[in-house]
Amino acid sequence: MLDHERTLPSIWAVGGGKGGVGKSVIATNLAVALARNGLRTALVDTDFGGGNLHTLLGVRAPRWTLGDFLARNVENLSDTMGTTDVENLFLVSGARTVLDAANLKHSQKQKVLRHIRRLPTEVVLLDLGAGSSFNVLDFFVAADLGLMVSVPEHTSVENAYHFLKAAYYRRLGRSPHTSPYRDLFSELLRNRTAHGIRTPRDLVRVAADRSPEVRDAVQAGLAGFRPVIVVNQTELPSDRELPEQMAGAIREYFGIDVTASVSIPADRLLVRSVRSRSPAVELFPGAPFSQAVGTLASTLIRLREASRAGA
Amino acid sequence: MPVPDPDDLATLGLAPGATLGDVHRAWERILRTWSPDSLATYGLLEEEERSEILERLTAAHRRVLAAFGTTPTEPAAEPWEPGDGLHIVLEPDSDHEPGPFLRHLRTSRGLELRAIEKITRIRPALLAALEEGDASRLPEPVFVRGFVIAYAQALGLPDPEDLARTYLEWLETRSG
Repeated sequence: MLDHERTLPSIWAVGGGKGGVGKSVIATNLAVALARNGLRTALVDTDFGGGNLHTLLGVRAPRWTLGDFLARNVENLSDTMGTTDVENLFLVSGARTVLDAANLKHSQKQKVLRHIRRLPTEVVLLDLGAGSSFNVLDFFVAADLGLMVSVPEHTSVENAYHFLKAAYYRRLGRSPHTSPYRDLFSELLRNRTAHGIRTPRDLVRVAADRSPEVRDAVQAGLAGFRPVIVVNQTELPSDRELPEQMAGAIREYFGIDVTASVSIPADRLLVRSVRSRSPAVELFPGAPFSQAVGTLASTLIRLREASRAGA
Repeated sequence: MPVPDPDDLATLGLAPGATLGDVHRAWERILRTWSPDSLATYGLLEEEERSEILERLTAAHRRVLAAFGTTPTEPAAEPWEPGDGLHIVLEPDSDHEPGPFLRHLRTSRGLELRAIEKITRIRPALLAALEEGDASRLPEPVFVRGFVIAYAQALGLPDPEDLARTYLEWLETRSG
């Protein structure tokens, strides 16, 4: 099939600032659940250098990796797509990518994104690295939908908000709609106290007061920026309410709605799944973790169908 | 009966058609979300911003309740789990009104307002207003309640809820 004859894949990014919150485990299991629902899915490991999704999936490291694509050992990113034990699931590995993510050039990033958008699948799931570096942010911001993963701990929630703030401003700054007003935003942010700007919502309000054009540009720039809030490893009733609380906080602070807020329970079986190098949704499909990931997959599939029908 | 403004409902995280029960549940969640010791807003904002957002939410809540033909009531008491702070059995009495009582406890332990700020993330100016019982510098009673509870918990008081009740009564007599 030629590129223009098929619909382009939905790009979903899994990020969230802090390391060790279970991003890769969630991305892997979500990818398996999507594939098991019949969607051709590519799981792309953009955790340059630290990638080990093949281990979580229990498959050999694919012959070619994202690093080979960047080093031009292969021409197309799709050449690096390796098959897995799960039908419809393909892996683009980030393993052995010696490039430091911080050194990824803008042109390389754009090239990777261009190729990601043309992968011959229905969904591309990006497992982003930890941190809020520009590379991680740019993939998160470029995706059709960003999943922000945290755990019910102060450090993780703090990092998640730091990440979201950075992504929000990156999105505003990088949007073609807002580009004519970049100088205005810089000026407003430099003198934020004088302008009474404390929250992103304030910035948007002050910008809107400047002119209707600026307001429209901001709204267009943020259109579709509706992250999915995922809180992993929840145990207490207050943990389970946290995603919904965070959604409310984000609505007030950023003035944006979230697509969904999801609680994924802590589950002892997960350790066994990781140790046996087999995704939990395959090994323990009835476990609370697997059920929650399955529900998340169904939600995302429904949203995708709704947005395709509306498009 | 007027219908609640959809924007106000959205502010409370509710869709049009929400029942009064939905509004109550949403408001309880909002109070938990924006309480000074909330995990859901940790690292997100300064106390001033918290107060501003709370004012906006409170106003929306009042308007929605008015549309239902009712007014705000005190939130239901939440179960208090003792922290690992030092437990003491002092209680506010005629010698110690609740505000000065908090200050007395704090200073008797050699604690600066900054130390309490570190635990509660409540601004020192606001903590001082709490100790003085200066209603003109304090937000709505429901939020004062949250601040007093956070302060009392930080000091390891055995019953922060009870102190908060006493405190609000005291504040009312002062401003009234």
